[in-house]
Amino acid sequence: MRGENSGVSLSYWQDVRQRFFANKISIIGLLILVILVILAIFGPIVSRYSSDELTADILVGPFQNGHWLGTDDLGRDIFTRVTDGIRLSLTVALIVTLISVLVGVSLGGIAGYFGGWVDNLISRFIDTWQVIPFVLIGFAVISVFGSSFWIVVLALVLTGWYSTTRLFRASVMQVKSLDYVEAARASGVKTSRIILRHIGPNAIPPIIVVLAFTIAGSILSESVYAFLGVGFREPTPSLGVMISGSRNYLTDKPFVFFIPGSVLVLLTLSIVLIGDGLRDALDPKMRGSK
Amino acid sequence: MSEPILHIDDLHVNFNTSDGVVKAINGASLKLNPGEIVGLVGESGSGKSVTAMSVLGLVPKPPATYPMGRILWKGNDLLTTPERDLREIRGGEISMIFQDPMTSLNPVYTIGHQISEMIRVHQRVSVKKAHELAIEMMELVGVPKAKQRVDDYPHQFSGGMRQRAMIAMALSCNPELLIADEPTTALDVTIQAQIIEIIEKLARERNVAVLLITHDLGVVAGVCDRISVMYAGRIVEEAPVDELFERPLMPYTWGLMRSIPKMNSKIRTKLHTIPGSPPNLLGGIEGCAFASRCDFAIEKCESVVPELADFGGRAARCHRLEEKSFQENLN
Repeated sequence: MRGENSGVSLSYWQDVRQRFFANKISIIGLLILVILVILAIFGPIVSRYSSDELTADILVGPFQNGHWLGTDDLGRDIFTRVTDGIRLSLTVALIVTLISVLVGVSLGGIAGYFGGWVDNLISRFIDTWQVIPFVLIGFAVISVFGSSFWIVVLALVLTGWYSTTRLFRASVMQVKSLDYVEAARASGVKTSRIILRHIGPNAIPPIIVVLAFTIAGSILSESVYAFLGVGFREPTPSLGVMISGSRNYLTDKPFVFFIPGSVLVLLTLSIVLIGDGLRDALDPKMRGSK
Repeated sequence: MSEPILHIDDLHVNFNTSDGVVKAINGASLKLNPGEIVGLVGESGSGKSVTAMSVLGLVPKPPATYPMGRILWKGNDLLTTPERDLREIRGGEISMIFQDPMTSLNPVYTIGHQISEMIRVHQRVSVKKAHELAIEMMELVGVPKAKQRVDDYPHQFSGGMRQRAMIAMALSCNPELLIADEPTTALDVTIQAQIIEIIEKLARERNVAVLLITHDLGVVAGVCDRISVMYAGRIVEEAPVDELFERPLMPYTWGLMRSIPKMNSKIRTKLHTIPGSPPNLLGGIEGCAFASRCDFAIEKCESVVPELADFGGRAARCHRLEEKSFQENLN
C-alpha cells in the first residue's frame, strides 16, 4: 500500500500530517476543540457579564433576559462561567501535561537507557506510588496545602507523572535494543548523539499520543476533584465546580447541569479523538499507507 | 607474509546470567591480514557474533566479562582501549554490516543523512561535501539513480537496496577492516549473490580486510581466502578455503561438508546430518565440545580439550588427528 505520493519522498512529519488529515473522525475532534478554544478565548470578551457577577436573574433558562445559556442558582451567567471553565480546564491540563511529560521523558529516559539498578529504583518507586488511589493523593495534597491553582496542578501532576515515565521508559528500552542504534554505535557515534538523535525521535511518538490522553485525563481528574470538593472551590469557574453545584437542580432546571456537563464531555472527547488520530498517524508501521 | 592487522588471541567471553556463568567463547583465535577475506563459519550460538561484536567493544558489560585473551588491532589490545578511542576506531578503521538491513537503518532519517552522518562522525567535511560523498558511495554499491534516492527514507528501499546502503555506509570512511555479520541471511537468494559480489569487489579494490560471518558455507566458498570454523565458542578448524572444502580435518567440519546438498548427486540419498545438537555452554564444557556428537570420539575427547594443532598452513582441534592412520582414512 503506497499513498498517492509514492516516488516523492516525504519527510516523516509531512507524512504524519497527511495521514492525520485523512482521518475524518480526528478532524471532527479537531474542529470541536478549535470551537471550544475560540469560545474560551473570546467568550469572556463578548459576554456582558463576568463569571462571578451575581445578577437578579436566578435560574433563568437559555436566551432569557440576555443570558445566552441562562443563569445558575446565584444568578451567574452560565455562558461566561462555562467559557471561563474551558479556559481554566485547558490551562490546568496543559501545565499538568507539560510537567508530567518533562518528568516522564527525563526519569523514563534515564531508567530506560541506563537500566540496571537505576531502572529498578525508579520502576519500584512507581509501582509503590501507583498503589495509592489518585483521589487519595488529591485529598492529601489539597487538605494540607489548600486548593489554590498551583496546588491543584501539583495534585494532578502527582497522579499523572508515572504513566508518562513508564511509557517513555518502555519506549526507550525498545528503541535502544533496535539494530540501528547498535549500528550507530558500531559507526562510532557518540552516546549523547545516539540518545538525542537516534533513540529520542524514535521513542517520542508514543509520548505524543499519551500527551493527548494526559490532557483529557487531567481535565477529567480536575473536574472529579472539584466535584468531590477537593479541587477548585466556589466561586472558581471550573467545570467540575459548576457540575457539582448544579446537582440540586438536575430535575427542575436540567440545563444548569447539562451545559457544563456536555462541554466537559465534548472537550475531553475532542482531545481523545485527536489523540486517536495522532496515534495512527505517528505509527511508523503505517507510513505510506492511508 | 605481512603482520596481521587483526589478531584475536585466545579470546574468552563469559556471560553472567541468573542461572550461572555461560562460557560463550572459550579460546577463539583468529588472524586477519590486510586485504584478506576470512570467513567465520559456525552454527547459531557458536559464538561468531559475540567474537565480532567483541572486536568493536559492542558486547554490553555486564553481563559480559572478558576473563582472558586479547584482541590486537595493529598491535593495540582493543579490550583495554578506552571507549573514547574505541569510538574513533568504530566506523573509521573497522566498520560493520549487520544481518537485517530492514532494521539497521533509522526510519526517521533519509538514507543520505545516515551515510553523511557516518562520514561526518569520522571526517572533517562540510554537510554538503558529506552529502556528495554519500551519493558517490551509493553509486559505487550500485544503487540506481543515487542522486534522487539519496533523499529517500529507509522504508522506500527494498531489502537488497538497504543492504547496499549499509555497505555504502560501512565503506564510506575507508575502513581497513569490514566485519560483515551474516550480511545476506535476511535477503532473497538472488540478492544474496549480488550483495556478496559487491562486498568482495569493493573489498578487493580498496584492499579492505573482511571478516565474513555466516552459517552458510555456500556464501563463503566463493569469496573467502581462508575459513575458520567455530563450534561451541572455540575455533575448531582453520584452513585456506580450497583445502577446507577438499579435505576437512576435524570431524565436525567433515560433517558440515557432508551436510551441504549437492546438485549433481545422481542417486537419491538422504542428506547427511550431524546427530544431536550443540552443547549448552552454561558452566562450560570439559573436553572437546563436539565429543558427544562425534562418531570417532575416544575417552580422551571427553576429558581433555584438544589444542588447535598446526597441520602445515592449516590448523584443527582434534585428538584423533594425532594418529596418522586416522588422518589418512578421513576422506
